[in-house]
Amino acid sequence: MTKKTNQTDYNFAFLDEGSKREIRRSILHAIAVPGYQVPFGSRELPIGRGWGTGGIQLTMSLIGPHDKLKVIDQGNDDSVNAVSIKNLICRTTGVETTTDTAEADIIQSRHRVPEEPLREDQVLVLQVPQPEPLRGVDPHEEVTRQLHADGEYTGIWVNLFELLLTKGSPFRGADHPVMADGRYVMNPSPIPRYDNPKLHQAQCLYLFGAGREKKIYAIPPHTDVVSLAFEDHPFRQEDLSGRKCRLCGAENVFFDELFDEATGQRYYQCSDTGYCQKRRRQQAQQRGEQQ
Amino acid sequence: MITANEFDLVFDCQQVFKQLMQAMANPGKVFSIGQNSAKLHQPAGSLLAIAMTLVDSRCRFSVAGDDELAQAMHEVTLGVPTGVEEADYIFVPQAQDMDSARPAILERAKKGTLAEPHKSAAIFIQLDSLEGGPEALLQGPGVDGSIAIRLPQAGQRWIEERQQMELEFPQGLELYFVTPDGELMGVPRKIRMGGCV
Repeated sequence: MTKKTNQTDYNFAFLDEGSKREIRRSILHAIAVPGYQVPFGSRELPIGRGWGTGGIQLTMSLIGPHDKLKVIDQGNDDSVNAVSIKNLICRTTGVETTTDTAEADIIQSRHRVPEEPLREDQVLVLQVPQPEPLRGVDPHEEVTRQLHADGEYTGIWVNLFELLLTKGSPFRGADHPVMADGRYVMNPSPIPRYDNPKLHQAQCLYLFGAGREKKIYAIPPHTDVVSLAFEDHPFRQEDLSGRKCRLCGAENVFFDELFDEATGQRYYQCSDTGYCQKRRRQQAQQRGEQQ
Repeated sequence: MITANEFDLVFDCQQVFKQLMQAMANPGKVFSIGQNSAKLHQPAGSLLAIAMTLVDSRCRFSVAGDDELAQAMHEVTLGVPTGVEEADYIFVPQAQDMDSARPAILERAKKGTLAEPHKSAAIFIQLDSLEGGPEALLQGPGVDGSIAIRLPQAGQRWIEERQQMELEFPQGLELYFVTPDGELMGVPRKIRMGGCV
């Protein structure tokens, strides 16, 4: 869909060109040093900080009038957050949007990496609430910056060990930290562990934007990204075996779990709604061809 | 900003940036800003288009051996001309003729610090072509295994000498190679160049 733009009211893509230039400079630094958090002057937007402003600023700085945009929130193309962000970007740029991952040039996402593998010409922009993996180790920015400079990550290993002792597993449900290119420990944004391996040696460029915390970082294509784990507790994704999407029948994807209070039954359906719809369209097409 | 041509400060800058971003993310691959830089109708149009995309009054830049280009960049970007030591962006318009100046530029350019590696310089080196040199391999983040490049010797020497400086990562310098026709190649700080295939 193409939205009507308010070009007379705003600059193209809302941000002024000076702001875009600063963000663009930061993006180039971020790509050059994978996993390093580049500080930037996060701008005010007509949306509260913490609601995806980092991702929006990245998208606004990247997007051109001929790009196709996809926005997802927890894998969902139609959630309030995704639709609001899409509306803001479309009204100030006039770009087309899509729910099909393969058609999109820029994909902005909160908490998921799409199921379909991304290509080299695509950019995935992830919204990040807490970019600093060492914030739980020390609350002071100057201390964590120095810890990153020294490659001193004992604190986060101790945190994971505490998690192992208290919860029986060293793995966080989401936002499980990774080592980027063997140098920086980074938060992959609150994606489920299921998505962590998609960052490793990916085809596409990943950009991470934290508007409230004023940080930008990146993972270039074909870069080693290793989830933190212990030798005797190797990294494990969530166990999704035996589950099947109730709508498209997909297996081995990340699911939303639905609970029917009346019947007490649990259902699963694809968390990536665009992927699920595409599969159902293909299935309907195949059924039509067979008839 | 002053623009007396059809180069659009919103849309052309966006396209140039996207190519710069792809060049940084995919080291060794050749991208093009030719359609955009051609609108500036200048021999150093590629460097000028890049400056207009990245430089503004909050940036310091240096142009090696071309005061006229430095003046033109200052007029269109309002960037602050400065010495190599303080420059965020260093432009080298005639790299073929700058062999003697190269070590000093690499030595004096900002490398950032271990805590703040982003406070470093990017060097934009203009060559006549990005082809024609001996084959060499690049490896590092952004490269799928390794990629063969054929940069002319004048370009490869920048990568070699940066490598010989053995800067402690994450400190370093970004190198971009451009041609007057707008071809563009990025070689970020962590990329290592090896011998022939």
